Amino acid sequence: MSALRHSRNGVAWVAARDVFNELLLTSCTVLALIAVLAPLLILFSLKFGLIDTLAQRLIEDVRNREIVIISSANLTADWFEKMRARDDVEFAVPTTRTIAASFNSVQHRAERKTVRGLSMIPTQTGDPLLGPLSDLIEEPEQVILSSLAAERLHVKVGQSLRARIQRTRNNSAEAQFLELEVVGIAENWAETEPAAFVSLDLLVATEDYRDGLAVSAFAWPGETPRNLIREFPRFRLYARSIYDIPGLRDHLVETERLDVRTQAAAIEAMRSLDQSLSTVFGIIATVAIGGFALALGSILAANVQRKRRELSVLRLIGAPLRAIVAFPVTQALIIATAGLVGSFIIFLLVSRGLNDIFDHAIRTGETISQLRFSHVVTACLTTIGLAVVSSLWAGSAATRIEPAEGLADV
Amino acid sequence: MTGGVSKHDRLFVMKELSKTRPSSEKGQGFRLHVPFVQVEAKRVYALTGASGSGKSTFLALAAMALRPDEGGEFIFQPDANEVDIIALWHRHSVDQMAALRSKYVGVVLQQGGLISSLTVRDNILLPARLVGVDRSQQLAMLVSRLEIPGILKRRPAQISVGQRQRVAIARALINSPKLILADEPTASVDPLTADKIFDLLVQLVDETGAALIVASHDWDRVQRSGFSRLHQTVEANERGVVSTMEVAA
Repeated sequence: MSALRHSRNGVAWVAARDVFNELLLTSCTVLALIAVLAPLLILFSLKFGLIDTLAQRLIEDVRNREIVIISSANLTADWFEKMRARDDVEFAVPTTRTIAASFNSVQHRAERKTVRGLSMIPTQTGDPLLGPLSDLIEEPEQVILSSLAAERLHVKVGQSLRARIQRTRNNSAEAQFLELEVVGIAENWAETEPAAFVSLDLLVATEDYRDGLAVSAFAWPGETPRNLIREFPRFRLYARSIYDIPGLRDHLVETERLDVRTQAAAIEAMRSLDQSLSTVFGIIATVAIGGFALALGSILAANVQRKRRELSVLRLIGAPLRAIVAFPVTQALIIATAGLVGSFIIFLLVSRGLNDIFDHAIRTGETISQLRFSHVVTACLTTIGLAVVSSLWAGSAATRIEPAEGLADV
Repeated sequence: MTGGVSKHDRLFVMKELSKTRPSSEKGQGFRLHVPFVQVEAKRVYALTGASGSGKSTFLALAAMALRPDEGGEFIFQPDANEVDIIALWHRHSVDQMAALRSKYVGVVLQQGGLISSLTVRDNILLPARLVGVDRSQQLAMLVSRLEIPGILKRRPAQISVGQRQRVAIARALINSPKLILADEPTASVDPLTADKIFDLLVQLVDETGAALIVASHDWDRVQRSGFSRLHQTVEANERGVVSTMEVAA
């Protein structure tokens, strides 16, 4: 170890002993640091926790990634292929006219339960609304019920339902019955109306039947379909992430000339709130931390003045000038570390309290107040860095103390 | 002590060295002038001028803790090599002088100059800690000789003034320095204690073979202890006080 390091360690050791010897003064300084740092940590954790929770909800809720078509369009299978090939599209499936997209009734005969006007929602493998359930439909007669529909029909997975599809042809009512197999129940899908997820083939067959056409796949009678390229008026379209929404929306509106509705405004509002809060937090943090750095610097400088005689003695007995700086720097490090520990203890207690208080408003895994490891590291490094910088002021004062001051009457 | 001494016995020599403090609102100006002083190893010297005659200023100059005026010569020779202290001041090599102090110079201050937050033991070992050497054997010897074994764990505020001076002596001697500078080491204690402390200091210095320079206003005590005297003449003129310090005839 070099001579300078020995003497620097020696001075640092004296500084540490001084800090612990003057426990009252040290405690006051540490409390002053905690008074600044703990509220900042709590404020930041709230800002981060709330915004993160909101953002996570926006990101995780697939409905926020949905682009809803408002007007009617003429979209071909090729168009859907093109859309599915885009990087910003996760899922795209055609939908028929709204009026054709429902069963007239669905009956669970064993339980004597019937739901009338059950909506049909087309689905395919990879449907983000259904997740892994979307792989279950392999045959046109297989359906996945919304939990509300399953509840009203008292039906479980594996049971059968009887669906009625009705049309009016030549002024007389006709109907077809279809045995449906329930292959899944979409539990987590928040819905207002009961619905059934069906294959596109079944939906198209229903539309054709209602249009008076024959459907050979189900042996439903009617007019022979003309061999035209089928066009769909609507779609179910999901962007890959909420961040893809603006670009995808612009493409649909400007290039495809479609009227669509998205959650872009809500997403933008959240981003704007995050930015505003970040600015406010930044100002508060800068003022508070700046004030604390000044306060700590002046406390350390005052301590150097109080210990002027002892520091001059240290120099007189051989501590080099460069080692004397270690005196206020060491004290700053000890105070900053103690302040950080105290602040994090208070933060943890308050944070736990806040999360408990708002427990009813948050979902599993969400928190109102939270800090990431990177935030903790940043807080520690900033505090210690600022403490060291502010101690350099006192350090500079310490280096102006002459060793001769240790001798009386010089 | 003076001319005719071989270079090998010489610890330091000052020639035409001076330190001036300009007059201020608070007081008149002061100039310490050292025409020639040579200090030899294993000798004891006394500075016995009146208060304000520049004793502490001389000690600060000798401790390389105070920058002298321009001109003059100050050679420090703790071993075979001579160190030009004036050149070090010109280069502002204060850390090099600090290194010389920690290795070769021990200082006993008027009030002890102990660090209040450290125990007696830590105070004594502080110079050794600053250079990173283990001096526990030296500590045991000094504690025993200075009769302070029971107070090692106490803080300076918890011991008497006399004990503080003994601790200060132990601290000054812990690194076995070549030169010990003591500034009024017995000024704050009663005459009986002062005699004891003085005797102990002289004995220990004698045993270690160091040179000792003591500033003291008590000439009788110094004379009893067999010190050589560094003679001072103090004159007042229109610019203030001029103190001249020379080796006594």
